[in-house]
Amino acid sequence: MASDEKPVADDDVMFEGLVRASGVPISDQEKQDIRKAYSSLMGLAARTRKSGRSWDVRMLPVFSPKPPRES
Amino acid sequence: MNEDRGVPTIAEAARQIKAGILSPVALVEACLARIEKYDPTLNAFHTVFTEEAKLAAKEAEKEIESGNYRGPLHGIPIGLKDVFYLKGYKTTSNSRVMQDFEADEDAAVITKLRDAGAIFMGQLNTYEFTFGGRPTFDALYPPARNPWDISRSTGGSSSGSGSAVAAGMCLGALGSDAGGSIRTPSAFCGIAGMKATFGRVSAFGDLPLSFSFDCVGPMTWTSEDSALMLQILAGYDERDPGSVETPVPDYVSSLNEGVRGLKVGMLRHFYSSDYDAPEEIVSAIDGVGETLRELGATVGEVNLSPLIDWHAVGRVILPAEAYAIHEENLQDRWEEFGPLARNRMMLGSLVRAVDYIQAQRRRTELLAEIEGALSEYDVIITTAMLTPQPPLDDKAPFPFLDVPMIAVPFNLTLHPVQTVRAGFFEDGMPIGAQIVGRNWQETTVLRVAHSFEKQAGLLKRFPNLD
Repeated sequence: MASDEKPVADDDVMFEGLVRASGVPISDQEKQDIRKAYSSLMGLAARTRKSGRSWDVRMLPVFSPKPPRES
Repeated sequence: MNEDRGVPTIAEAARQIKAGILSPVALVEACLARIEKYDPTLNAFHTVFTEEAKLAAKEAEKEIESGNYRGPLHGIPIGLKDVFYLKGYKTTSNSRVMQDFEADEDAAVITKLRDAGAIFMGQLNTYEFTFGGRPTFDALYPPARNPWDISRSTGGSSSGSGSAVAAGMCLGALGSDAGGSIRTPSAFCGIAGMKATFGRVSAFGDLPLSFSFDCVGPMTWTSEDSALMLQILAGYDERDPGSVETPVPDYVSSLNEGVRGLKVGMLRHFYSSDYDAPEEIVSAIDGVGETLRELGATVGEVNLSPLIDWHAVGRVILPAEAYAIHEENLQDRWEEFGPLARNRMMLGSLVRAVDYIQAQRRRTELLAEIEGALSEYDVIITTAMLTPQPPLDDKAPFPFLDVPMIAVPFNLTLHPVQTVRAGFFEDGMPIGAQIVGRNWQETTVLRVAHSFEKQAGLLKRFPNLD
């Protein structure tokens, strides 16, 4: 049965999972350094989000086919 | 301080070669002598094409003497950042992963320089896979040193290009730029450098770091020289999906038209309040605006989102794309990477698709801000550096997470930018400014840069190499 509590994103779980999923072996010291950098990175990622942003704001780059060449 | 650079600019050399006053052979010999004397300390080159360059210079001389002068780069010694396919040679991007890689064709820009008669002096150092804001000490080759002070960073990733041009070991060099890799070493080494509009110069045969940011461009002593090199490098190439089929204007003929009537927007808050840059930087960059005002430009101030917002977008996108490009090697050949580059790239594995897409959407909003500012102003001026050149041996694993990236905003927005020398710190190290223009308007950017350089007279100072 589902809990009534709203789930919260857990950066530690995410970090462990993503590092493991990457398949790149790193040492414990490197992992500590990357964990710190990951916190900074997620802080920056949060800045790119905007509450209520319109769906019309699309991602860049937008890929479109090139126009046909004039014959 | 040396009284001259030891070699002429490209423009000076081209005039003399065309007139038969300067021999390409003598010019190449002069550069080789400087390489022999200074490069053991500076490490700008990892491979010098001594015999090949001498032979090519003789052929150029013969060709010119027989009346077949190809143009301003004919017989000019040029250095090549080691990220470009170069048939017959390894292309390593300073990584053990790539030490046996040899492309079977030239990069587009190599072909263009070859056809223009440029003389290739050798392959120049870079940071491993061109990633990160500080030198990689654990890569295939040791880092280049800054000719103004060998204990200080050149900036990167076109570190050897910045060092070699500043030291007069070649007259110009190729660089590549996904987050400031042309502009930062140009600023740190006191030279000029152009990141043209995305799509202006083919990136075919440039080992990639970021598909949506990578640009190729010239690094030179003056902006006039950047114009001469860009004239050769620019142009559509169907082999590069990002290349755009649009006419290439004459970058050189309008250089002396001045700036009277142009509108210049100073983007001050990036360096005066969003980041508390040293007073010497603030004063030097403000001085660029003052000089342009004296020359007849109208100068105003631009306000955009804070620098950290631009940095955030770049910081999410760049490692994610770099990781995607190198994922297979990171998984299978991880021990061949230097740990500094490997761990910087590892950050990209931690960026989720949703983070990447939100960053790209924020990029759309920021692009609209710049477009708005550039509808009012012909060019925008801001700094090319927020701090003095750091010590060379600063091995912080993730320096780019501490200090915002001042160059990346214009990778996000794709606009053309020229770096110029804007002044000096009290200790004599150079300070660089960025001049940003409307898309495809490199002509205006170069005209402003050239006007400033002539008026300011700052290029008469040279690094003391002895």
